[in-house]
Amino acid sequence: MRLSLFKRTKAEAVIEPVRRPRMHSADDYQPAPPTRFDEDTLKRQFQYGRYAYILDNRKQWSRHFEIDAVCSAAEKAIDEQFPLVPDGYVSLPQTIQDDPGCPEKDFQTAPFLLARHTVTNAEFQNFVDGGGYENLDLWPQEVWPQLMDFRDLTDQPGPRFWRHGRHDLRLADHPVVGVCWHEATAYCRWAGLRLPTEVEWQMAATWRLRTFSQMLRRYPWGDAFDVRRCNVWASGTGGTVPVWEYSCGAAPNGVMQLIGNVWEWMASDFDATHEAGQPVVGDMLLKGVRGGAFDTYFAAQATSVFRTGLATMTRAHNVGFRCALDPRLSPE
Amino acid sequence: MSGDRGDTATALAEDRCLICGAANLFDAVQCCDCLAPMALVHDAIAQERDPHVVSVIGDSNVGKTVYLGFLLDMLSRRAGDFEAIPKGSYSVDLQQNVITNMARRIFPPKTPMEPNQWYWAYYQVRRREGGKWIDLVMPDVAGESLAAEVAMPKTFKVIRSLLGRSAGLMLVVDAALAANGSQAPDFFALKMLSYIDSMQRTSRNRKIDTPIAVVLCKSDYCPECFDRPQQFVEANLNRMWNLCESRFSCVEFFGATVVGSLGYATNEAQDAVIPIPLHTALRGVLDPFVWITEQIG
Amino acid sequence: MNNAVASAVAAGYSTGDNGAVAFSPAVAAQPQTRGTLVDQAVFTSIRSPMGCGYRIIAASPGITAVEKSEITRWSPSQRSLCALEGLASYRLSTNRQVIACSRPAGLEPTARGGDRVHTHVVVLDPEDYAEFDWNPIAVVRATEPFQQAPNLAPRQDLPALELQPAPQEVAPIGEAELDLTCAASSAAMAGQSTIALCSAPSLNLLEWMLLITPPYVRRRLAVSTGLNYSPIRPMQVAFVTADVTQLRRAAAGHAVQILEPAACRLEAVHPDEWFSLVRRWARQNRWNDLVELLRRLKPDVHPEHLDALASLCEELDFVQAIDPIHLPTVIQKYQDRPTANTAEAWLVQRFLALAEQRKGVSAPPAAP
Repeated sequence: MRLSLFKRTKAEAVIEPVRRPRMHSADDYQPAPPTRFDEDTLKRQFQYGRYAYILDNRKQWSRHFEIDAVCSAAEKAIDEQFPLVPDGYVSLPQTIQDDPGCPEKDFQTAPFLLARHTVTNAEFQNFVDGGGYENLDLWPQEVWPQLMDFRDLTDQPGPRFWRHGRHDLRLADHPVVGVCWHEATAYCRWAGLRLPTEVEWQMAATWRLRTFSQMLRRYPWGDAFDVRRCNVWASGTGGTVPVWEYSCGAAPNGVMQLIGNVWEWMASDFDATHEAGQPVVGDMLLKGVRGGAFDTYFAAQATSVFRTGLATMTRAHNVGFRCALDPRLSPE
Repeated sequence: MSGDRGDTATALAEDRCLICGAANLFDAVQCCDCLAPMALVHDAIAQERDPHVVSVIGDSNVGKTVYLGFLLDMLSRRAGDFEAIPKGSYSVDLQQNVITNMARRIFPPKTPMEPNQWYWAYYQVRRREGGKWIDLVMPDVAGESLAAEVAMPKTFKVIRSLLGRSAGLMLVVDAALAANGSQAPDFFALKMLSYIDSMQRTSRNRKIDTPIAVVLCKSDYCPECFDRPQQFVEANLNRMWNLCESRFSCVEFFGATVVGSLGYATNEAQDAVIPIPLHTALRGVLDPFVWITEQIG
Repeated sequence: MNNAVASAVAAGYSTGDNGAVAFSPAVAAQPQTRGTLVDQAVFTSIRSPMGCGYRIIAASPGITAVEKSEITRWSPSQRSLCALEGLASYRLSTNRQVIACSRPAGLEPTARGGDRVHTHVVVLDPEDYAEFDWNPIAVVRATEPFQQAPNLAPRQDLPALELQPAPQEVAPIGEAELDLTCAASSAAMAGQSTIALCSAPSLNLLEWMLLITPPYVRRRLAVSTGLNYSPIRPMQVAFVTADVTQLRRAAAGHAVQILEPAACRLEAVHPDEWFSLVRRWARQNRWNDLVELLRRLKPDVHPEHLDALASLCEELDFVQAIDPIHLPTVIQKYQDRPTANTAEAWLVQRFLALAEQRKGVSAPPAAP
């Protein structure tokens, strides 16, 4: 399996203009039509996009006549969709007052694969259609009583802002929002993936390699805030944009929209302290979220190093997630 | 309810306060009676438009200062295609205080009850595409002073003068408290609106037409406030809802939020809990303002 | 002990052991068997089912709704203290007197912007205030047995307090501070509202200012110390520590003057002989004499009488040095002198007693 370290397209050279707000009215919601899935289970998993799951459970289909072809295609898909983040090191601010000189903790990072985009509504639809909310194996036992709360606006299992278990077709390639940390984790488990840790995410955004220069990028594209490279409040969109927009704000390996559009759930607990040394806690367990969103007002809160947290059960309109994967050795 | 051109001209000639009309010495910085800044008068006479007072009112700790500070800052940054010009450096003090603190993840200090400590903002705003200029005066008052005046009229005369002078009101209500079952937001809103009703002395057959934007703040706790604010108010703030229906003809309901995530830490002595705004997520801040300006304009 | 002091002791002046000056309220000739019942209230910020923020959280039933409204308006809220302790004394529209003592009381419940301010309010009827010689600090000291720490969870209905006027002690103050208090007292007597700037506003400073102001004036004064200036609290005298530029801006147009310590020495103070006497006795460390004199000032002493009292005090000092042959003339002069008030009458009595004593001492011995 070849790993794509750097992925740049010609479009990245173009800085996109600031967009006008686009408002999708709830009155003209367009539910995505049901997808016809293959009856063959292996092919169906491929349709779902569960590439890592297929590769992890290859033995389950060892007798399938197309297993080699499907696995090859899955590897190619992972190659395409999960650029490599090389090893490096990261300094995590330990206090919520993250002024220069604040206490920091250093971490080394191993190489890993990070999804090029956040999970879209269309991708999450596959999880819903695949019975993700009904498969208790995907959910820790302590969450089972809350499963009935993970409903959409019409009381069907699904992200908060969907209707009748379907996403709005106009937002198919927008990041899925209205999912709590548990839902994000369940999706990752279903897909054979995982959430990135804060350390990994920050490495991907700061691109702090162990070189003589020891560069630290405040943003994936460099050190200066540029409202044209990310979707934050100052961009004026007023909502999410498709995951393939703002390509000029991508990291060197092509991972997009690390800054702006939606906050991204992390696997890590949010463990910062107050300046007096006391831990910062929430009404319930806080998990890290990174990157800022379309409604992040302060540019300083949409950087590669800004740390914040959200309660695990929060199903907010501006929080999504992206998946990570450990590199696999090629069979040959 | 707002004054006309004649009021402003008269105010200058006699150094009369823009809010309460009291006569003041020429060098007065604040009105001797209501403690509103006399700079409002001096700035108003230079314009060709009469200032409209839009008061942001609400109970203590509901978020008036944070809401108004962000609103003014957003206008300064041309949100919603508004063009906004602050008149006088004092008009920027509130937003500077709020933004500086919130950017450092600290809530701004509590607004004191003493009126001479309140922030006042005088802004000229218009929609950039073909909108006409309107002058707005927006003070940040202390919730306790409002509560005291409502409980016993004339305790804080400035409140009475302010509400009487207001062309529009933004009544900020703690949606999170209401959603949690507390009756306090409903009772405060009921008292506030009753006070306004009695102050207007409108006959029983006529409703009060002062535009009132009910801002359900902290709506990040109950996102239903964004989807169906009217239903939320009817269900959780039913007393206020009924009074609005009976006595006010121009009321609209909005959900709003500023803080995306709230954390807590104890202080060094470990005898108090400090709320911490972990990050901002502005939503619905501008909509009530847009509506009010449409009603006034 | 020199002759002057001996005479003073013989005349009944009290002395202190530690430099502090002890004195008793003017009318407390006998310890009282029954205390003075006063109403009380607490104004602070707490979070409760009834609400959140600064308000009267508890009060005794004798405080009316109108009085509560006024107390709410006058009471300090967040960031109103400019010293470790604040005091305000003012008269309500019901003619009752409020003495309010403010202290920091931990972090404000919403943890925004510093310590909460806790104010304990005592409300007295006019005749009860007179029992404390119209001295709010005396009232505060009488409440001390009831105030161990700021009470943040009092019963909503507080009982009336039974206060006993007690012997007080007042610490001497420095020359600069005395100049400031004299200037403030002078302004108060002239009906001028004053903000007195000082580095450390204290109850002691305020008490001296009140003591050197005759009760005829001070019983109506609204005064404060340790509270930031605010026009919502129209004090006639306020001792504050603040940035003078900001203070000037805040006070502009409110008909209130600002007294700065450096300018007080040069400040023209009236009645001038009175304040000259106060300053001179302070410089001479005659604090006990000063306090004894001040104790004798009753409501019948008006500001225009103070210069005459000062002159009498001067003559009292010189009666020891006067040539004995002049004593009969002097005695004659003062024996028939009409007095305008009880303080003057007391001074004249003291004068005559000393003069007679000297006359008796200096009389030639009888022939054997």
